[in-house]
Amino acid sequence: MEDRLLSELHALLEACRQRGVEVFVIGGFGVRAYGSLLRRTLDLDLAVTARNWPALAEVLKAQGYHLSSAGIWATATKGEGEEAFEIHIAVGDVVDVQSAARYPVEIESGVRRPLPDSDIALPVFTLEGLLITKLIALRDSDVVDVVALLLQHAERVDVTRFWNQVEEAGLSALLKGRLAELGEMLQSEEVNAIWWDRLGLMLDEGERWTALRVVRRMRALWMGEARS
Amino acid sequence: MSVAYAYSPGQRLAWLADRLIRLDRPYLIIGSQATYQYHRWLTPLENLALIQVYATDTPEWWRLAGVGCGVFETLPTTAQVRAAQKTIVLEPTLEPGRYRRRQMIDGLAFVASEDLCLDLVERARGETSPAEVAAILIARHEALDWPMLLAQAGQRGLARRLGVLIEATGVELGADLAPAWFVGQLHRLAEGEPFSGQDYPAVRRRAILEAYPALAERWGVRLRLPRHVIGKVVLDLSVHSGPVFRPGGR
Repeated sequence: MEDRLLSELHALLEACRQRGVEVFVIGGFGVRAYGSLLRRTLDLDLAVTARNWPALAEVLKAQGYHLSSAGIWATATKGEGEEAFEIHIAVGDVVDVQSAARYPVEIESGVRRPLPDSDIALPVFTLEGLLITKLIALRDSDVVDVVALLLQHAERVDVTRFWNQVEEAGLSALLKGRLAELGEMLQSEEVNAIWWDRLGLMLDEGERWTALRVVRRMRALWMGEARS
Repeated sequence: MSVAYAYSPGQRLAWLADRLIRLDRPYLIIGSQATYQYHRWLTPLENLALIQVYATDTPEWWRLAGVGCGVFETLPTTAQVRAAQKTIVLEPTLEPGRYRRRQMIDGLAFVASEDLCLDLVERARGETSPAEVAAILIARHEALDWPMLLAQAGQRGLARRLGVLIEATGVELGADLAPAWFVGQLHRLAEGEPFSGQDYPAVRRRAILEAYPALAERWGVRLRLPRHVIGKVVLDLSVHSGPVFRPGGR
């Protein structure tokens, strides 16, 4: 199953590259490109700017996909039953349904990262952009993703870039609240319960404090304490 | 070729099967390897397996460890799992009835899907376990042993929580998930269970209580589960089977 998905994704990205269409892989595969050891669903999620959407739509049609629009996503489908592929595409913005908060794809410079255990490199959001999209929603799966990303890339989070992107997206107030909430979860037992419920594993004290330190660093810069 | 998320447990768990054949003792594969086997939705961690065994057999099971394989009797940390190539977690709580209900797949003994559903209902402390209950119920609704699920839910005092999750899944599907006789009898069992007054799942502070108010009241559960949790399961599982459920009743 995963092999088929990766093969399909590889073909699609190659077609985009040949047509000069910039597209980002988000969702589970986007997080996996940052090397997280986590449980995921095997669905494909992409993000594209509104400007590049017509060109991506043409690529998808040429690859045999049928396009439809469903709420915040455009959906591309191909095949039936076990052979079916479905791709969700965030066009223009990555939107959280609950809060209706939007992260504009236009802001993203993006990076290419190798997908672990494969020979594919994926165009994905920057670490900071990925954190923003996860923090906007902060469902349990997002809490686990954010903590895993912070643990694995504790020293690589560019806090200035994070807040610049947050401010450009107009999400400062929301993200300030989300980071405060995440900080509370990390200080309490809540994050352990979410981690255990998702992964069946424990988060040790050292890991919890590592993640909390990064969250505090991020909050400190926003509050101006580290700007000097 | 990646085998991490292969549907065939013989392929996906070859590393574990190699070790299991050395020990001729009863066991059940539980946890995320078992849930994935039944719902094919949320992938398991690749090199981690939870095995339920008889408490008296535990010393024997330590022989499963080999080079690069860690065996634990308490839940390991993420760092411990990352450090080991393979990890086996022993849960010494197997009992004969549960072992008799096992399902053999590719020569491996899995916990019955009905028992697994109830394990998840019981352990839920976040959004993931309820979502996996919904995923198993949707994926296995035609194969589930409903009388057995009813009996076990009653024995374990889980009728209220199972009932509310089944009906919440039905709301998201737009169809009745369980047979009407099952829901009726489960509700009678639920009425005999004490109302705990605790939020369910217990941990999530931010989630609103009002997502399924009528169902929560009917089953006597302070349900704290946002609608997107089961909604996402329904959306994901519909990809490979079209609408995952052909409405019959609702």
